[in-house]
Amino acid sequence: MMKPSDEQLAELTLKDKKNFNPLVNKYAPKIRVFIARIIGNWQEAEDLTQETFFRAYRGIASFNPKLKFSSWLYRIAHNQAVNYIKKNYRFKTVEFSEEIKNKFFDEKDILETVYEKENAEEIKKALFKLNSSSREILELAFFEEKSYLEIADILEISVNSVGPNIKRAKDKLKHILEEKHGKFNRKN
Amino acid sequence: MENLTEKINKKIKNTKPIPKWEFVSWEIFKDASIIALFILTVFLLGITIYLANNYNPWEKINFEPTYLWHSFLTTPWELFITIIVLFILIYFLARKIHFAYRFNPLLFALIILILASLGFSVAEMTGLNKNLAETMPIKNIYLSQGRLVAKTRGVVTIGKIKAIKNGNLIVTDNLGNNWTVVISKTNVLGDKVIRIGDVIIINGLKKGNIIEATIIKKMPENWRGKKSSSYFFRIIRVNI
Repeated sequence: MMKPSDEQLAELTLKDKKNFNPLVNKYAPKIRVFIARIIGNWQEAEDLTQETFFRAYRGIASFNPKLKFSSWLYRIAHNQAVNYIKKNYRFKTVEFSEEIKNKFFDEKDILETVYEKENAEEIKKALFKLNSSSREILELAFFEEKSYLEIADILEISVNSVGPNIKRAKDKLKHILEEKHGKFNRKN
Repeated sequence: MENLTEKINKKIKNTKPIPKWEFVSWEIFKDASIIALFILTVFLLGITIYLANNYNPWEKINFEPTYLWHSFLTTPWELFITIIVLFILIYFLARKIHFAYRFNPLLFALIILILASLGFSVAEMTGLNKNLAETMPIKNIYLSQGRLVAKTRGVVTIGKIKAIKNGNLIVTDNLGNNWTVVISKTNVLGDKVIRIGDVIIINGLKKGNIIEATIIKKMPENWRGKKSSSYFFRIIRVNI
């Protein structure tokens, strides 16, 4: 028998709560890391992840199967993170704990994908200096490897603006690096 | 120590999903609101353009300061502002539904504007704009602001009542010209009690030194000695 897709599981959750468990098991750790990278607080990210799944479960009937379940879930997580930042960091920048930084680095290396390997450490540091929206879009594009359409669905922006937004975030990253180290050694 | 998935499962343990009908009702409400707002915007747009074209002296465009000031005062800004606010509201509400956010925002805004223009054209062709602009709720906006609405292309004169003769007013304007103001079919705005010595603003048809007044309005007591421009310029002439 074929394993049901995430979207099918989401629909079946309305009939039986048990169908939600595989979705929790699959996405909870990812969502926590995703939120933590945006808000910069590992413990708060856990609370927000719980809240994300709580809201997802409560609103599962509103899930549109035309959308990917993961996009829908990440959108809820994104909204949670954005609300948290608005509430807590309105007039200050996000401070990242060492724990977060370590977890950030544990993940697949963004730099191997975006820039050349020799600049990896510097770019990692620079990532933490970006604002949350720039960091988030790089996170979705390179860490989560979401397609443009998925990013558009998560951030509720037009598909056409995803590319320019990623480019802007990368340019900001480059600017931060160049400010500190002079011209950035980028081969592509 | 509980792991994350256990905590989540515990959190949703005693919760039930919100029923689907609630979401469906909410979606229907949102769609209906956007459609209603859109229709309202098209109506207001039609009325605004109609009023701007007909209740302002825009047919005599020039760049004299007085003319520009007059145009500024008689432009239906409240409607313009309302329309802009409604457009922004429609734009943001519509972007949130049915994956509309996926499309180019400029193209999306353009589509809304084109649809509104089409709606306006239909309302214009059917005479709906004219009828609505003449109905009291809309007309009242202007009357309450002292923007006089007259159904004639008339003259505007400000003068002092020197005498009342055969039921007509004898008025001397600022240039010293004497006018016989026929008030048998006049709409008196504001204070209805008019006495000799009062300064009034007159809108009506001129025939020689006779003005068949459509509208007269008494200037307030504290007007004398002050600039009359704001009163003068708030007169709105209508082409029919």
